[in-house]
Order: sequence, then structure tokens, then C-alpha cells
Amino acid sequence: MDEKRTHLKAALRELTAEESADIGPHAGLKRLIAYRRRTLPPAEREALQEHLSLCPRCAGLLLELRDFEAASTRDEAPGPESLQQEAWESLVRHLPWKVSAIRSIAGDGRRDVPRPRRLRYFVYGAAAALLLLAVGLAMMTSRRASVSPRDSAPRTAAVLERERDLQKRLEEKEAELAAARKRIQGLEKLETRVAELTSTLAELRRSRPAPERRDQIADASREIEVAVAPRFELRGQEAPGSGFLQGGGAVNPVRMEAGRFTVALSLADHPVHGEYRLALVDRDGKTLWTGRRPSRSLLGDAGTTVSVSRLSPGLYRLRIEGLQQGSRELLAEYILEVV
Amino acid sequence: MSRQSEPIEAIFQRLRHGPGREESYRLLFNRFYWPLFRFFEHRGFSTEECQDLIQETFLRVYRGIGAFRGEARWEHWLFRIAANTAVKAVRHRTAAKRAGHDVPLEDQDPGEAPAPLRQLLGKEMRETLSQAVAGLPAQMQRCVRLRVFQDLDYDEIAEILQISPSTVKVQLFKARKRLRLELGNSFEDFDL
Repeated sequence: MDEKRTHLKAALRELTAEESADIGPHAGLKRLIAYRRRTLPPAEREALQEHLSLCPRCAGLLLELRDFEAASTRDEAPGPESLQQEAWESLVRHLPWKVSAIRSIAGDGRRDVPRPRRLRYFVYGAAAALLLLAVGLAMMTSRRASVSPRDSAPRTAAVLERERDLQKRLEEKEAELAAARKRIQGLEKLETRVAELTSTLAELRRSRPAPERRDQIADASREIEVAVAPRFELRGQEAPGSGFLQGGGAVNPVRMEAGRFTVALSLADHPVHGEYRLALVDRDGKTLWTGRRPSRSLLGDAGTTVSVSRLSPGLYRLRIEGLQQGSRELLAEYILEVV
Repeated sequence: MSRQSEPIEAIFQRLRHGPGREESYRLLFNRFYWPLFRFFEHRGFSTEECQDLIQETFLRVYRGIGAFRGEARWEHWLFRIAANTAVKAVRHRTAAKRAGHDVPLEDQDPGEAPAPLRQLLGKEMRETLSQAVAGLPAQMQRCVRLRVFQDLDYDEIAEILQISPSTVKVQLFKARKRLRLELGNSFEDFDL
């Protein structure tokens, strides 16, 4: 009886194992993520579900993804802090912070500072080549000079002329070498200066006053200043989950009186875009006003000014986007509350 | 301040466009250390290996942050890096084993489950069962396979098929009923 009772399950297992023998290639993490985000077309979704039912490996990976997502939203540390601290200290020892201090890791195709090191290597290389050439010429000249007049045929005028020519070229190369050495010294000074400036800049950034707490809501006058990226200086934070913010930018509710207001935007120290688009959007997503500013008008500390009038009380969203070669990147969003 | 108080996108944006990169990097580390630890631990790595793999993952994040194009969610991007790091570690371990290095028994990849007993079903019985299962609706078949073949519970099946656990329960109940009706003469226990 007992044997019979377990029979169906074991038989089904065997049957499924046979079916799973030729399920084809694994789904791949990219496809599993798309499935989890429910962005796969219905037919592909169906096929993947079929695969998952036969493939423990892909099904397991999907469950791991779910667990990872869930764990990353939990707010407790399920293990000893010392373990985490130890891992952090070990990690920090492998990080090139000094490099990151002078060069952006954003990889946006531009560099924050010039790269004197590469140029310096080029100059070193050129100098070494010149030196070798000079040494070669000198050796050739001395060998010719050491030949005894008794052992050699009388020098012709052509040979003498060639010697003079070589001598002249040697002097020229020596002059170039001296100039190159001078340039290297100049570059070294420049590099030292860049390092000093970088250090000063880092110091200034560290000493910058801390932004206001995110959970505060500022009462603003009719004029507010908004510093956009890189740090999205905030004046407050709307409660998460309110659903009002639709983009990925920062939330910055600023309470102000009804009527006209002015926004002074400072985009200093921000990754440069060709052009910026500013848009004021109401709660329903309707765009009330848009404007564009070329990057040159926003560089420097002065920023630019935007004026919008006749706003009724309510919440509005100010979107700031960077435009670059046809692409648009949301840099920040600010919630303005007109009272 | 609570670990979850700042949106993850804001931390990543600061990490990409700094200043304050070091601070953002630390926040990111604190946020994902334990999820990553659990992920690697679940894959059978020791605590020491988990620490190494977390370090490797975060170094890859540091190196790859500029290449991230923002098409995926940050968590998914990080998960992919972690999964690739784990795969690489397993390959490395396998290569070490092939090269004759000592690999502790508990560190070895459990590999595939043992092959099922092939002689269990006679030809006729197999055909009867195969036809009965093939006659079930597709979703019901998948529930049965995930339950019987992969030993998953209702919640896990629901997660995989993106349906509710109660739907899974109903599907398995119906499958049980139908199979009992069709296979009652040949099989008895229909507890799925």
C-alpha cells in the first residue's frame, strides 16, 4: 500500500525529469529580470514560464532575485556589525580614492582635469629618441675623426661637407633636447599646481556647509535658489510614497506665496550638457511652462533666472533636464508648493 | 539615520557624479552588504568567501558605475554583478580542483541532482501518465512540475508563475482531482 501511495509522485518526478532533459539553453539573468519586471511580450513570457517549470536552475535564480530585492528593502542588519565593518575596511584598502579625487568615475566621456601624465610620457619618449639620435651621431663623428690620415684615403670635400652637416644636425638636436627638458620642467610644475588645486577644491567641498535636513520643508520667499547636481542640494523632502514625484530626481518641496516667483538656478560644478530644459508641471502632469537654456548661460556662479506668474495655490513640479546630442537626462526635480 | 531613508537612485546618482562619492559608496555598501552576504551564503560559500565575493562585487560596481546606462534598476544591475561574481568564483574553484589543488569537501559544488530512477515506470504506465499530464491546462502542468519536480512551496510557485498562492493551491487541487479521475486504476496516492 505504502509503495503504491508514493508511486504517483515518483512517477511524475521521473516523467518531468525526462522532459527537462531537453529544455534548451538557460534563460539568462537579463531575461529573468525582464520577466520579473513584467516587460516581456506575452508569448515570450509564456515560453519562459514553461522553461522555469522544467529548469530548477533558472527557477532558483528567479527566487534568489526576489530574495535579494526583498532583503535590500529591509532595514535591519541580520548579522554582526563587526563582519560588515571588517568587509568595508578591507574594501577601502583596494579603492583608488586618490585617483577618484581628481578624475570623475562617471565615465561621461569628459574628464574633469587635463591629463598631464600622458603628455609627460610623450615628452619623455621624444626626449629619449632625440638623445639616442644625438649619441649615435656623436659616435659616428668620433669614429670618423679617429681614423688615421695615413691609413685612409685623403678626405674628399664631400666627406668634409657631410661631417659639417652632421655636426650641425647634432647641435640642432641638442638644442631640441634642451627645449624638451625645459618643457618637462614646466609640465612638472603644472602637474604640481593641478594637484594643489585639486586638494584645495576637495578641502573647499569638505568645508561646504551641510545641506539642510531632508525632512524639513522650507518657507521660501518669492525668490528661491536651486543648486542642481551633483548633490541636488535639498531644501526638504516630500514624504516617500506620495506618488507625486514621477521621475528619478530629488524632491524639494518649497512653500511659497501665490503669484509670481523667481527661481535662480545655479548649475555650477555640474556635468556639462549642451543645453538644459526647464519645465514646470502641475500635479496632473500637465506642462505649464517650459524653457531652454544653453550651457554657456548657466556656467559660473550667477546661474539663470526663470519667472513664472499667475500660479494658483497647489503643488507643482520643476523638472530640470540636461540635453545632449538628442538624448535627455533628468537631473533634478523640485516640488514647489504655492500657498 | 535609517539605512532605507534615502532613495537608492539618489545614492547612485551621487556616486556617478560626485563629490561625496566616497560617502555615497559607503551608503551603498551598508545598504547592500547583508543582501549580498545572504545571496552568496545561499549559494554555499563560506563566511570568508562571502566577504571576498562582496568585496569583488563592490570593486566591480566601482569600476563599472560609469558604464551603467540606467536602463535597468540599480538593484538588478547590482544583482547581475553579484551573480556573475559568484559564477566566476565557482569556475575558479572548479579549475582549482582540476589543477589538483585541495578543495574542502563542503566547498564543492553540489552539482546536479542524482538522475531519477529510470526503471520505475513501465512503457504502458508512462504513456498513460504522460497523456494524463498532457491533458492538463498549461498553467496547471507548470504548477504540478514546480511542486513535484522542484519541491517548491505554494509561495515560491506563485512567485515564479506570477500568480497568487491561492491560485496555485486551486490549480494543484484541480490537478489532483483530474489525475485521480484518469489514473485512479493505476495510481493511488494523489497528494501533490
